[in-house]
Amino acid sequence: MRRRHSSARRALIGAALVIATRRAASAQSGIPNGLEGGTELLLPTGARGLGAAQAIVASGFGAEAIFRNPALIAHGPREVAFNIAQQTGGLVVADATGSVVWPVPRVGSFALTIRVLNEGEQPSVDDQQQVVGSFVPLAFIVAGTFAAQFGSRLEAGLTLKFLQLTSWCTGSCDLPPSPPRTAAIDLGVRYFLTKDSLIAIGASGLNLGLPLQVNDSPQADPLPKRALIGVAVSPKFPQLPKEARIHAEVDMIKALSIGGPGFLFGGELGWTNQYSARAGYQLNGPIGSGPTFGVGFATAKLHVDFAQILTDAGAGEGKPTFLSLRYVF
Amino acid sequence: MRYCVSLAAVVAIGGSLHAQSVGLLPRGTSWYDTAATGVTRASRSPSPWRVSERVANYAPIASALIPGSGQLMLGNDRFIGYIAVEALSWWKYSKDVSEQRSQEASYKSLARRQARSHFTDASPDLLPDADWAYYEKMRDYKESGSFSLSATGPVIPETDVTTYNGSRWQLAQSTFSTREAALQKYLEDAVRPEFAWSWKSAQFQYDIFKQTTNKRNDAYRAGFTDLMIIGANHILSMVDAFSTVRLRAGVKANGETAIGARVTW
Repeated sequence: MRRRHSSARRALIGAALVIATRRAASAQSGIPNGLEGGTELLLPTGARGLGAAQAIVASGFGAEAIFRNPALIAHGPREVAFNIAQQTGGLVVADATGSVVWPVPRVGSFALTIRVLNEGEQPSVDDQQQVVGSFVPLAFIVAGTFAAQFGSRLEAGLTLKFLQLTSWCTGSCDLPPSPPRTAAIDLGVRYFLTKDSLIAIGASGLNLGLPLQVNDSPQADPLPKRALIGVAVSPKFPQLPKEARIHAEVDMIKALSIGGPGFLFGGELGWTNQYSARAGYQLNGPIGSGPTFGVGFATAKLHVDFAQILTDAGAGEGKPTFLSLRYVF
Repeated sequence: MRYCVSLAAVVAIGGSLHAQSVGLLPRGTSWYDTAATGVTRASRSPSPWRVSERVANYAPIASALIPGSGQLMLGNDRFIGYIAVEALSWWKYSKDVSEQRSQEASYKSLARRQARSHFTDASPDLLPDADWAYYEKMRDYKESGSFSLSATGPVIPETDVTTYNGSRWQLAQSTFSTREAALQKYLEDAVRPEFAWSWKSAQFQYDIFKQTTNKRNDAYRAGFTDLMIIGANHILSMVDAFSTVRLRAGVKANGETAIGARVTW
């Protein structure tokens, strides 16, 4: 972003874009601050994937995988999911995502996702740095997804999503005349290399869309476009009890046009489809570098997952924590 | 959209639920399989499919390229809706782009004639153009200030901090420890004489200038919204065509095309 007007507009832009950029984009190697807008689209959500360092582009499952690879919902049950996240450094005080996935046999799966990010109350100041009000920057993301299977091995999907930045103002706030908004498309595929689905590869292109204009149109910022590719394996070891299952994945993420690649390594150990333990490590990932871990518990219909990230993301304050509730039916 | 809602309305519900796998694997056959594998069109359709296999295969791609074309190939009347949205959106987009260009020309002309004309003896129309960053400075500072306070000899930076050049010199002095380095930075950032401006004694025109830049932004936003609608129309049309091909489709006794699906419950 370039220089801005005073007061809340400057703060809004700083909070909603620059801070988010610092939080997300800059954490990936080689991406200078402020070169991308709409980095809310990169903020992670979903405890299942985050426990495994977000290495889910080939093995993700259900609603939370939509933001990594929309093809991943092509094969799955109906699901209502609710994800809550506490992002790093307390910059986002509330992050809630609600999703519904609805498969239609022989056609494809449809999903609708709504996400709200609340960055907390911030003071609005005038040119003399006097506090003249307060405002709460908000970001809304609405996404519609369609994915389908092509034969028994190939899955493909796409997501059309809209991002709008807005603000609740009390007192005097110098906000942009219109809420900044943009739209983007995510595309993804997954292919099972073996008939028994032991090895899968996945690839996706995220946030392919038009620049985000906050104030003046020539200063609209390009969206954080990312390309991901990953390989997942689910080996079967005769030494393991039949109730146990294990899978691992490695992903590479690359910002299109700028920055170097990041690598994500994740794995999951499950027991009778009820208990899961996950761990991972991300190297120059979307939210920095460092280990992650997570646990999950599932009944027949209700799935609860928890994850925490121990990264160097953002200001380094706090540890991003995620909770996911899924009801499959 | 109405037709999509209608499409959803014909979905019937039935079936049963099986145990569900938590993880990626295994991938056994489930009621929620969305692949069309192993199901022939004949077995899905109670009556003959009216379009050829080839047409059906290309319909989603055609719809992605030209919304409505896939529906037209499949014999669905709703192609009109997609084409109408597409045509109207492109028409409005061209209108908004035209408005944006008009506003740009307008504020540039105003700047030349009202704020920059004092600094040239020639026609203001001959003054050089610049990118938006220049006009943004012009919006934020009433005057550019002098590039050099000395008409001849070495450059002596502007000292009035209420002007753009003066503010650059103040910033450079506070940033760099030596005068030489600060002067070098000033020479890079300061507005040169051929780009000098002043809105002094032209407050009314200054306000119009700022309003015109805002109108340009509004036109850009409107065009942006048009593009979002166009993109969504392409995707919706493609998914619609794809679903139609995969759904059970046939011809009823009265000749109308019937579309339906069954969702297990």
